[in-house]
Amino acid sequence: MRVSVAGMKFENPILLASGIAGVTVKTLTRAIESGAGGVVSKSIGLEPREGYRNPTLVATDSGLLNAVGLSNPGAHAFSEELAAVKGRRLPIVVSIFGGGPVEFGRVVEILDRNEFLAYELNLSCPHVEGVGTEIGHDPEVVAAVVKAVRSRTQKPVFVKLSANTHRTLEVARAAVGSGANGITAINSMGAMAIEVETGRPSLAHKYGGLSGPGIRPIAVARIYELYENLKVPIIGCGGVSTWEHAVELILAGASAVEVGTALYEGYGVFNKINRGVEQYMKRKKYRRVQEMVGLGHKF
Amino acid sequence: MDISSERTRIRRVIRNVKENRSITSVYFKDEECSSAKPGQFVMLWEPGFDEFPMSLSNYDEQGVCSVTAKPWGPGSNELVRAKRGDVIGIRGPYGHPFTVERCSALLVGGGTGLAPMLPLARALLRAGSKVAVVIGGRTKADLLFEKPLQRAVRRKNVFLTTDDGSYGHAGFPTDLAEGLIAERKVTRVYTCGPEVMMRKLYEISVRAGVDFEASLERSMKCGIGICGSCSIGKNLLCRDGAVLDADALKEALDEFGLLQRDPSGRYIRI
Repeated sequence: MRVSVAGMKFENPILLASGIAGVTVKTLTRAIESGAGGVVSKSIGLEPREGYRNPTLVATDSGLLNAVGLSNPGAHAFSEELAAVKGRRLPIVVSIFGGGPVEFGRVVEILDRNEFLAYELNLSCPHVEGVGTEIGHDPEVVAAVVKAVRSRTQKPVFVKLSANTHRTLEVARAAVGSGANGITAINSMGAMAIEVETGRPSLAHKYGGLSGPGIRPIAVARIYELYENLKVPIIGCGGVSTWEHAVELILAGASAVEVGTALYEGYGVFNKINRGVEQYMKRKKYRRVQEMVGLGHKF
Repeated sequence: MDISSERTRIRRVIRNVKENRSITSVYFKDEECSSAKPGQFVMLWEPGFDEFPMSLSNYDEQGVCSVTAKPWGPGSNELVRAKRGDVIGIRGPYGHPFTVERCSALLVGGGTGLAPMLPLARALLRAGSKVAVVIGGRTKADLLFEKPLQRAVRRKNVFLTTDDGSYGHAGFPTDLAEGLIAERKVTRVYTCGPEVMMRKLYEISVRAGVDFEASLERSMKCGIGICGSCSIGKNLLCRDGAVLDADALKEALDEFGLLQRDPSGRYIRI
């Protein structure tokens, strides 16, 4: 079940997605011990952020809606967390965000001396002003951000993209052209819910991002399109909670698959998905996950 | 498991009961909470203000429930003012409850930490347990649920402490715990209240060789094991707690009673 993605070695292809129980290295470690092949931290910015007032997460019949607001302890505090597990060689990918190339660059300067696998640049959070999709839909800004990060680290750089734009592919090309080693697709979709009895938007921030079952077909389409057009590895993300979902994203072109909202089922979800993928591979006579990547394109 | 079942349920307040000078219970009807277990909590939405975790202080077969709060922030300030007919949102019941089985139980509550103790005492009695309760408060006017707990477990099994000595034993609930554990051959200590008190009780219980369970509080957002903001050690308090036992707490002694994480995820002193 081992996979190698842009030089990153994972025990299996099922990873913890960013923003999910990943504020502390202790909970990230628990996901690894529970069977995740790797983990992506909550997005870390330059300064500590408390995020939005509750309700920050509400369930809908299409999935989970959230506007957490990029709460994070800041790069210095998270750097201390990482320093505490030095030498354990944990498969941690650090997600980072910022308002532009300068801020991204500074976050990398603070974090980079620590031991972790790679960066995932969050250029796709749909609900915070001045960061995420607001800069991540502009290929020129994305190119500048990737260059700023690339010039400050030897570690692989993945760019997590949004499907909230028709320019996903264009943005991905700009990222790869500026030195990104791969693409993570997709982030949550811009969304909103209104509670009808009170007439109020359900989230305190009103606008949020939809994750979970409702966005999986969108993820499949974007991954398929990226695989068709790019040569770099893709990490798939969006509504995966079963082995069928994981295999679907792999067939679309993902080399590894992130699981987020499905943590709702508990930490057993990683082993559950991995066991199913393993049985599928046995049945279909695949020896390595890599053999399945992009097979949906041969038709 | 289907996440759409976690949608917020809109409920109306049935009544507002002032329990003492600072603490108020708010009653509402919610059938889903009729199957709650002692120590479980709900995420309570005060529309326009906040959503926050609250222990259920009462629930019955008809789904008549209550939460018991002190005003400490925008949401709870609004909650304690709620009148009959006001709208609130409810998700849950959530969390890992207290263990209910036949034992010699000592329940120790401080301040609003008494909230889950009444359903717990009743459930333990139904399971055939021997139950004693220590109620702690700053002053006489801050003691919570003295009368209903006395009715539930009989007066001689309820012990009162006030920090200022205005009523009952002068001092802290922890002062009485060691003696009661020995005298009453207590086999399990249950607690909810200020975390410094609970940490002391943990140490007393471990020394005495008795089981220990504590209901903790942390900054909480999703309540369903996703956001990670309520972590203590490797535990997510919304799923693994809010009740943690001595084994779980042993793994988090660098945090329990000492540190918690603020909404950004930074450590702050308790």
